[in-house]
Amino acid sequence: MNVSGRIDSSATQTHITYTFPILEQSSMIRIEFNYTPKTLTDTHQAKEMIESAMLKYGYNDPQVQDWQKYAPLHNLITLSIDDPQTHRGQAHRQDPQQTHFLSADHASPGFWKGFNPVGQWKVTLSIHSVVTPECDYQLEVWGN
Amino acid sequence: MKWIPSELHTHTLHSDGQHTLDQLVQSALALGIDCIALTDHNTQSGLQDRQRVQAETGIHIVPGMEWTTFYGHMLTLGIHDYVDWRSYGIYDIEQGIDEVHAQGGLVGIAHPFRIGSPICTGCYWEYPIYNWEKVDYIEVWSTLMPAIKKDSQRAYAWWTSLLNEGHRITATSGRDWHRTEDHDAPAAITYLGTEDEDQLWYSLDIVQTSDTPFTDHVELEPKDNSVLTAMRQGAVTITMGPLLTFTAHVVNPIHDNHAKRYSIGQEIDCPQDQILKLEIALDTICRQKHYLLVDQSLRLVVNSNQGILFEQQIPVQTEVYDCELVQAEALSWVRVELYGYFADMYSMIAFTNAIYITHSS
Ligand SMILES: [Zn+2]
Ligand SMILES: [Zn+2]
Repeated sequence: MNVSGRIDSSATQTHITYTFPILEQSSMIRIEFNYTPKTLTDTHQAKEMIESAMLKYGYNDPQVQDWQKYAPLHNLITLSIDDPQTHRGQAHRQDPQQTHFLSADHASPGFWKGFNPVGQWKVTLSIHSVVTPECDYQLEVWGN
Repeated sequence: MKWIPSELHTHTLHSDGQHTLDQLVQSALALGIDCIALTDHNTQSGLQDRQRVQAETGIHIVPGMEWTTFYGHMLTLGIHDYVDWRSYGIYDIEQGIDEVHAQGGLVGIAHPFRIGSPICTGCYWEYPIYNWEKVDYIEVWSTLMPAIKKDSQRAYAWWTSLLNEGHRITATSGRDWHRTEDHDAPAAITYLGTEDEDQLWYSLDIVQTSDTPFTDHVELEPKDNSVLTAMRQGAVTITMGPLLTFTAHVVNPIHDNHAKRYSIGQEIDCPQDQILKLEIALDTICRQKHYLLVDQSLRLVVNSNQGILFEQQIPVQTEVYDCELVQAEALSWVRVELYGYFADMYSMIAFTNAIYITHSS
């Protein structure tokens, strides 16, 4: 499977799940995932978003109006995997470029090693935050 | 009662921590910590190394996870199977809590007032709680030098107001340990009290659990039960350094030594017109080499739903202090707090969980 997509801030706090077949016995499932951009570079927008969060969460102490200590803002998308039988784990981290693998003896950090069953697999992208006007992602999964 | 120095909020490379479980445990041992909870974000896969690391080091690792959701971060402790956070919305957190409880696990609200999205996604607790019975603990102190941080002060005040409303919720500290650097500011320690299982805690026998090739299922061990029991009972005391504990009993004018002592987290019944006595112990010896508390006059405070009941200046030394509470009728909880200079800042240095008070007529 090789899919890509473009999302904006309306995707914040949603999940995108791809369900796809793995029809041949695979000793190794590999996943490549990336998204771009990672960082909001527009300081005017960043200031606005940060100040509104500071107000919302009670960090608007007039003595310490230092929005810059929270800059820059980042997009965050995390990836989790469910095989046809069980949850295989999740990679909750900031990296916008990730490589994962699952095999009987090893798995990349965040995932459980183990036998890879044939059937319908799921990869879920959890979109914690999109702060840039657009965010493009690409997801590739293959077995071998 | 044996008090186990613990750290209940940690991360590894399995989420966004910058250390392996081995490195984390070495850093914990260097601080005199005997028990950690591994609470990686949204995964329990770091527990694949748990038995080996426990056997090699003697530390105890409680299986945990940090639900790192869109609307709050919730710590889970002591569950066997992964509980899926992804399907729950902002009004559904209690369903998620029920699933954790169904496995005998506990839940705690992590860093409730840390600034939230989009700065720290989901970090501020936004879930409404309809039934506080369901929340086992609140991480009222978070990160390094928590007592001087505004978000921890807000969490502490929130916890106090919940106690005042009659809820019995355990308070903890959590370093939210992602990395270790040479000149890290000091972290707090959460001491967990175990009574029946002192022997167990000293034993180095690591219970062999089934060695399945892979699983998202975690086997619990006897020490996990000690930890969960302590957390459930509120037998927990938090400190930057010295161990602060206390007991309460109803004064018996003739045989006061025989009066039953109630410890942190327990409920004591204090009949009308009886005097409640607290015995407050400061222990500056345990973990002594892992923190620096300069010689000074410390302020010892007994706090309650009626505000401060007692305070005294005390020296930095191991000692027991008595405190008699004559008009106890209006009290529903008491706890002890210690203030002073720590790492060049004046702040709260330690606090206990509450002893809860009822009044039969
Ligand atoms: Zn968190
Ligand atoms: Zn955390």
